[in-house]
Amino acid sequence: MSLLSLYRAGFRKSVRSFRPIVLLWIISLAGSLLVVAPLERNIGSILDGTLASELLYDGFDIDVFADIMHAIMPALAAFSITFLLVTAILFLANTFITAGLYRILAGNWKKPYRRRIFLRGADRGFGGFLFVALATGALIVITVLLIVIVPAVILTAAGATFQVIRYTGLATGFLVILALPVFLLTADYARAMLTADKYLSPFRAMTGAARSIMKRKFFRLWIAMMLIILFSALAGFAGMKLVVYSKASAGAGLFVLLIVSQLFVFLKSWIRVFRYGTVTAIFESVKD
Amino acid sequence: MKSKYSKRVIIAVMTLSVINLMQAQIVLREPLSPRITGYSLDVKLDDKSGIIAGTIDAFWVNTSPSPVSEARLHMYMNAFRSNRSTYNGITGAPPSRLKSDYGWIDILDLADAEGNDLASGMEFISPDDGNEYDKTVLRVSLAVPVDPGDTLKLSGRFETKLPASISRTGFKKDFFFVAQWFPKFGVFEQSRSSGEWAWNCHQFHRTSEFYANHSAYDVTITLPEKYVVGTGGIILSEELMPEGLKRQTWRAEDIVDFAWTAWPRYEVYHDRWNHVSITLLIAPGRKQQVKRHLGAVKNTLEYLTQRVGPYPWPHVTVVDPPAAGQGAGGMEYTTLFTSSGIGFMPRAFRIPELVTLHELGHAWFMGMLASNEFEEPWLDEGVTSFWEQRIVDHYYGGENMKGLFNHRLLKISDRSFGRAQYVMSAARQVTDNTPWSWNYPHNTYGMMSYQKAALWLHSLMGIIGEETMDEVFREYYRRWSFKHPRGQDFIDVVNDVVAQKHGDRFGPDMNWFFKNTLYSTGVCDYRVHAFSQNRVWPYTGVERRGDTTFLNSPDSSDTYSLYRSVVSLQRTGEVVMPVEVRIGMADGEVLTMFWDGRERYKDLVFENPEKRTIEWVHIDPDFRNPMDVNIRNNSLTVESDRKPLLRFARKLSFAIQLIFNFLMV
Repeated sequence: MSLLSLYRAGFRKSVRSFRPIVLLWIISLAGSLLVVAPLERNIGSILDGTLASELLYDGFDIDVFADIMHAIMPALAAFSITFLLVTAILFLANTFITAGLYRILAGNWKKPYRRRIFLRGADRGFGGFLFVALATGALIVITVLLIVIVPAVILTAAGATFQVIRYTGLATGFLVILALPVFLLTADYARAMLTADKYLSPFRAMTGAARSIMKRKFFRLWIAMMLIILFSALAGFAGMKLVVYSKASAGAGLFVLLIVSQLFVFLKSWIRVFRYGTVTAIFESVKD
Repeated sequence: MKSKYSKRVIIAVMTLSVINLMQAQIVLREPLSPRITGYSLDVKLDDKSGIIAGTIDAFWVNTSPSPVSEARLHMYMNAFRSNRSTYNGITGAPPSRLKSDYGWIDILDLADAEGNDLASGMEFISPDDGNEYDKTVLRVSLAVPVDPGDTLKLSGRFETKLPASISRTGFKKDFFFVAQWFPKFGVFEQSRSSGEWAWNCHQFHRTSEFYANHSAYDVTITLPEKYVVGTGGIILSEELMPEGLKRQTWRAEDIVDFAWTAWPRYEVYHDRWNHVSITLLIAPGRKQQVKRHLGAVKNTLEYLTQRVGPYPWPHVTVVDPPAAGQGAGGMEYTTLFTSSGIGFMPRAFRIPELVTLHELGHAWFMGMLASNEFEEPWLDEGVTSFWEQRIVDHYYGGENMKGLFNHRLLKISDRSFGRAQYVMSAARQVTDNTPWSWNYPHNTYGMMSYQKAALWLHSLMGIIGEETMDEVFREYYRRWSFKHPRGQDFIDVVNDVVAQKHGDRFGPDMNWFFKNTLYSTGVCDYRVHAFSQNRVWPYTGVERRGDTTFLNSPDSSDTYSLYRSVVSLQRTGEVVMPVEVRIGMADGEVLTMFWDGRERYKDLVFENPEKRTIEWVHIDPDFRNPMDVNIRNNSLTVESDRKPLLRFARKLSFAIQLIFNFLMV
């Protein structure tokens, strides 16, 4: 299959998965609100009835925060704990949904979406998908440690100039970016294999996936994945630019800010499912 | 006997010629200070061992009305001589196991102008803490007392070993930063309280800086040819010597210490601001910081020249030390100072500029206005921090005057950053601003002498106005440059200038202000407690006539009714400051009132014939009094604006969603 037909297949599959994408977006929004709302309420109650909140129109104001720091310390502590808890829960929920998603993505894209199939797939594939997600995450972290962090630490200890450390960091960071599509391809391919064969062990799925993508037109697959990663990063970057730099100060502006930010979150979720769909299409083309 | 006499004559002639040279004018057109002390040093650096050895010829003039029979010298490199020096603390924790990490200074021989041996009359003393292990102050008993107006001339040989672990001074491999490195006279001065004359010569403490007379220096340094050298003076000559050495002669005038640095890998940049030639010595790989340092130097020279007084020297040297020499960073030696020593800093974050202009600011506050850094650290660090904050926010803050971090996403003013350190400190009330530098308890030296002092200077400016504040410093400079001002001298200047500019608008003098800030442990906090408005009804009441009670109806002519508004203000802190109170009415009118802030509470009452609703009340709306530790309670409003917080929440929520998305592989 050509690159374009792979993407077309991936796109069609992702369109069929609209409902799980909405689910992904909803849990992401709910999770973020769980983390942010208590802090916002806490600061709001402290500043309630005063004009100090107006100082925040320009963004973070150190004078205001210095004054309220002692009062918001408990909320900040709760914020970090909630963030960790919610991230863990979301990770599990995301794994569950991804397992169901792959079940929907598999096979003919014209098949109608069935909730039963989604749930069955999620239930059956959860364990294996969890292994794949954790192993891939660990592999990425270890790679970053070995390629980026360790050399930087050695150079710093050896008294290298900042310029040398900086350029080394840039070069090794670039290497990690080059390696990233390989990890994601392996993970996604292994998920597709697990979906197709319920008796396959997750470890064998990962090694088999790695072997498979190395054997078959690796460079084309790498390009396909790299383009998706770049597209996703671009969407994230554009969202950051638009949302984080927004100076909305009226009710309507704040509403637009909410809509735009959630559109970007939705887009990012869709790109991820599109990635799953594309890799599933690759897997199916190889299998056929 | 004859030969001894001849030797004395030769020494006397040589000393006199040295003094003549030291009194000569090479750098400046005329002396800026009385030059009570002067030094001629000829030394050689052994870059393998970190030892600087050579000769010293020094003089001191007795300006007191009585003969003086002893001299006191700073021997600060002995702070690194043992783990029990006062600098290293009373815990006796070993600073290092390596011999090379220790530092010391020894006088090998010492004689006066008549050739009398003074070495036998030398004794280490510890006037501050009686620490028997501390050898940073040397008492020299003189063979012949120095009469009033006479000059004591000392000649001798000394050896200084730099510590290999850099703490302000020292060396690491081939990087050398050399300061407080030769025997240096204390200050013989008259006590302001007792009127007695005595040596002011403190030991070297970790949280203290220095105090010395303005002097002229002729310094000859011999060192390996490969070294790039920077000093606080100007170079007079350089000659190449055998064995790959070079010999440089430097001259510095009217500064309080002669510091220098040597490192083979320095990159040297030159620039100019009016009459001042600027030299930057910077570690390689920091080219992007060159403009930032030079810009900060020029901005400081411009700002302080306009608002305080001119920078008189024709040169200044900035040193941005390499990472290995970071311990030497952020120190001031008037015409030479060290900046941050940080390899990289985003352009929006002005730390390199801040350090550069703070240290150059010390050329005024300590360099020219040579206050006693041991005893009144606020007078150099606090005042310099005040000016540093003004300069950073002025030049790098744009419209918002937020210059320390100036990015679209985040803006922080240097003044606010300093204030945050004071406001958030749990120890802000343990002491006032008067302890000697090493006596600040609970690690409050930095927060109190830098941040609190800078903060109350901002509050003073908020009261008397920026123009008057600048005039205070111009007058302070006129009266006290190249002398030794004390805190009270600064207060006297404030009182005089404020009286001249504002009469008795703030009281007969400004002593009340310093009582509340410099001499107070209290905090400043003003608060809007509440506001209300009620209708004042026409008079009604009952009247008893015999056994009958009559109800008085409102007088037909008494048809009016008033609306009484009351704004309740409180002073919850101990510190008293006059404050402006602004009151916003529902119809858009804004009333401005002033409260002298003396009472613990104040009710502002005003009556209107019509119903007028107060929307908000704001104490110190322009934030002229940053000493107020809680600006949140400075205002009260009927309906607070939650939109900025909502916007913040939306953005944070989005950022968290992106993180979630990133983590889900």
